[in-house]
Amino acid sequence: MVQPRLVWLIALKDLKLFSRDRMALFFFILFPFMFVIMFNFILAGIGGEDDRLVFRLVSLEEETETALSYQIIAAMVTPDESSLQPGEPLIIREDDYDELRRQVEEKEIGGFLVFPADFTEGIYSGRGAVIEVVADPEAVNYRAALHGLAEEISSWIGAEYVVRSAIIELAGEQAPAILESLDSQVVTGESLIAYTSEKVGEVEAEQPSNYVIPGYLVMFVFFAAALSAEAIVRERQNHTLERLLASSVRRSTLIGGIFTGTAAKGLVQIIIFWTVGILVFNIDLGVAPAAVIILSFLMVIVSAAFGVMLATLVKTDRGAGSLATLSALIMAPLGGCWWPLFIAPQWMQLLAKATPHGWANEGFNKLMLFGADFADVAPEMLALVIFTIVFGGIAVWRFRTAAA
Amino acid sequence: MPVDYLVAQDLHKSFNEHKAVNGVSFTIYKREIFGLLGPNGAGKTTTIRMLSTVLEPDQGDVTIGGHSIKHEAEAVRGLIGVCPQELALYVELGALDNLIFFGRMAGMSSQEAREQAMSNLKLVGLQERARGRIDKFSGGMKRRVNLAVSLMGHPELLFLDEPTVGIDPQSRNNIYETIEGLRDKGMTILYTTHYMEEADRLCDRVAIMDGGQIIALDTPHELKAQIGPPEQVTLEDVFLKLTGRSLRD
Amino acid sequence: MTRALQIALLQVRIYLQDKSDLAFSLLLPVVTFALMYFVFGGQTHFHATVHIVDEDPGGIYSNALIERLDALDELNVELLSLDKADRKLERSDLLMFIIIPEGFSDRLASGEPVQLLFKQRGNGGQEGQIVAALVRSVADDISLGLQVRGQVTAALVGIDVPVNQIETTVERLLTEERESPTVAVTEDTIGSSPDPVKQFLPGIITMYVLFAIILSARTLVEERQLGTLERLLTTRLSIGQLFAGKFIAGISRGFIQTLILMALSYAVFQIFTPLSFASSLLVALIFTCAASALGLIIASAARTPDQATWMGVFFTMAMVMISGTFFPIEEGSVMETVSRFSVNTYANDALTTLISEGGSLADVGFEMGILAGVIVVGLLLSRYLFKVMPGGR
Repeated sequence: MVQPRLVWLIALKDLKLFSRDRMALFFFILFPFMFVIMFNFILAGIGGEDDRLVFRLVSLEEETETALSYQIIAAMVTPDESSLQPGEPLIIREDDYDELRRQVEEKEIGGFLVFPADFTEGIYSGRGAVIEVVADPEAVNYRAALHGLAEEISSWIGAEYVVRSAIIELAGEQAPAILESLDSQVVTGESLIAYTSEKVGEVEAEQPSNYVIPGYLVMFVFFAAALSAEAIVRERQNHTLERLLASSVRRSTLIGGIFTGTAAKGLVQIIIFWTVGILVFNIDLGVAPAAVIILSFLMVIVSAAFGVMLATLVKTDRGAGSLATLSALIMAPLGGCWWPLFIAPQWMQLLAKATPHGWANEGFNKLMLFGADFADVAPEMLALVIFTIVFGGIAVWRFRTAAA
Repeated sequence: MPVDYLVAQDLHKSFNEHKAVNGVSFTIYKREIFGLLGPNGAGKTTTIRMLSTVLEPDQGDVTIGGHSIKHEAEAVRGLIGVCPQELALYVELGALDNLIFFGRMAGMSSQEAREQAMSNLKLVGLQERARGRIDKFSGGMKRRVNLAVSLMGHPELLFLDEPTVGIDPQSRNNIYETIEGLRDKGMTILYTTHYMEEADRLCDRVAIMDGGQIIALDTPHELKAQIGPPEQVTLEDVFLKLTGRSLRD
Repeated sequence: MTRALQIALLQVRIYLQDKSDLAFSLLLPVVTFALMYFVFGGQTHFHATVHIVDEDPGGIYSNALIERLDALDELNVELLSLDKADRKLERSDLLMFIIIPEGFSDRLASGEPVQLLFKQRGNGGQEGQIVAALVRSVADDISLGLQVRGQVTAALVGIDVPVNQIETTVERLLTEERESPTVAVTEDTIGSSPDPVKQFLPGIITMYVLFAIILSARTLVEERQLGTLERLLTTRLSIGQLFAGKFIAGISRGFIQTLILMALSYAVFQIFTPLSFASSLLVALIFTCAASALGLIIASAARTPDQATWMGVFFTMAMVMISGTFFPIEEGSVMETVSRFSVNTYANDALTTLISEGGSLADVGFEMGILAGVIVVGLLLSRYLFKVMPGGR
């Protein structure tokens, strides 16, 4: 049976020790904000880029009336930029291929599309042709856009070819006459699907603190709890735990007190983090701030269980410190504390789910970046509860007050 | 005829405003076990630290084997061995490794250090555990290793600062016999302790310190005779009479 | 000097016997590097989420559009209700979503034009514009398919060809065209792709070397507390020799760590030539000297082992963060100026010059000079601060 008053006294003792350890206070409360400030500064403006995409098209063919590439370019080039809808790309004809290559090499532009010299001939001869995307390998996004445009052009020409081939195949002897009567462009420029845009405001740059603060919060809360393991082991080594048991404190009370003390430290951290985050960094807690608070609370609980569990796995305080640091520095990047999880490959996002950090960060990202509500983060909350049960179970099972 | 080996003259040492040692003078003779007793905070450890060249005296000097600690500190260090109160050992390493290492620090060659290490471990009864890790040893074993380390380098003068704290009677007895054996072989020993029966048993002469000064210095027999029949009085009685019964911080 | 080397050797032995220390200094860099490699190194493809409000659920063409978008490697489809999408757009939780209007499929099936609505903020952001381009590409492809059928059917009016034969033929030809297009799209990339190994390796190595050496400062403080330092000073060991021993111990430990990590990189990634490997080791040696000197400052200043740990971790993390280990620093930016205050910056720059740019030791003279300066200043400062005990030598 747990003795609540004694649990609280033990927890209070740990909090007192923590509050007197100036270095620990600095490291776990002030120091993370140095990272937040730095990353805020570095990442400011990211996500706010909203310049209209510009596509450059160049042909290496000789410009004649029958040159298909020039017909395509003419059909695609934007006649008047002011007539473009929001989000619609600006398409420009260019004539100096070498200059474009130089600009790509110098990273002045991301890339361009080029029609080779034998483009028309390749199509009419049936040999086939290519459209080449010339790009900077680092311009991943722009390359994708150019490919999209190139695929579109390829589709149009392909459609022409399909119509003609279908007619040849199905009309038999009458095919030549039918083909002669068709327009040179059998597929008219007008698609059945049109596109309109409705603008509801301007793009605002993402607040970096919305993903930086949760990431570092998770990392430092876990780090602090893991390092509590060192203090717990030290108490075991200097026999103060044993001394407590020799008084009227039960084992369950002792474990409860240690756990509560560790959790209380985490609560202090999250209160400070969120308060400063809201007041100073203007973070947005999303449409369900209560979910953010509950998720934070669950994260504190699981980290406390983790810390107590760590203390049961090692024999010396130095070993506890090493294991705590090691686990913190592996789980933090794996779990998306150092960079947002959603930029990592899918399999890595899956691997992150092996850590409580991964679930916590995913929950925070959903709530604070993607406008999720309470129900959307129920899986993350449940996962943290399960981690707590597992870590806590191991801690209770293995907890010893004296070295074996 | 006793030969002076260590002569301490008018030693003074202060830390900030606190005068830890205030004019201490005494002589230790060669092949003598000299006891330095005193309540907590009397200045014993500070005195030993000055004698072992770890601290510089603010005033006064000490000669050991004819060498001054102020002017010939290195020569002095070649003559002394120190067994501190704390277990100053590398607990991640084995007993033999610790001894060899400190022997090398004392200027011994690898071969010499190894031989003496084994010999010292035999002296303290730990030759079977030479390769064992210190952190696996009992308290008594650690103290014996601590003593063995202080003997590396063939010191002529040994400082033993409470070498038997917190150990069982068997280990303590082993240490007594070892110390007596060392004295018989010609070593000079300065011994501090809170256990009066130890001082009574081991020490040829005893100095009692209090408040940074020596308040009594004589053989245990003569000190006891000062307050009553020596066979009926204990050294503890003498100590308490001279230093008082009030608690010291 | 022998005694100093003995002290160094003792520390190295303790290090090699300490499994958790070895895990920290060898396993952790490998794990961190692997994580960074997979997160940042494999990113050669665009990936984004397209948010769709489907007001034509179950429609054949709306489903086709959604399925084809989902099948693209570049895109993930998220279906939302209009209310939710509007709310998210209002809060900038997303910058663009697409509305497939009611009757989309029926109208297309009957050959009538339809509209897709892009509801967005500004131009939709860079990612949004690219998503829109991809959506248009797929939608146009669907439209083309319908147009092709329409055109072929219209062209064959008066000729006795069953409608289903037209459908089947057109479908087959469209499939063949998709599989082997008349006009293929190729790519020519200009300039080198970022090599994640060369980009991250120097930073990861210097980070963990600095970490390990700085944290080992704790052991010196522990020795001071335990009394082993004092004991050493009662032997013939001088303060200078003791100090030198601790300095060499830090270098030895750091260099062993670097040698193992670099040798692994050499064997696995083959990014070195024998000459660049040797040059890099020399740079690493200078760096470990600088790190050891800095570690001694911390050991001299800290009064307790915990203090040494905190100071060490804080110092190392600050040095690493401002040195651009995790993100490239733009030339001429404020961050570049700030990065000049980190020892890691000089070591990383020198290693990058040797490994990625094929430079020689002569090209990294400036960086080596700075590191040498750090060694000298660090040693002087720490020697000044170094005391075995208060009031002592």
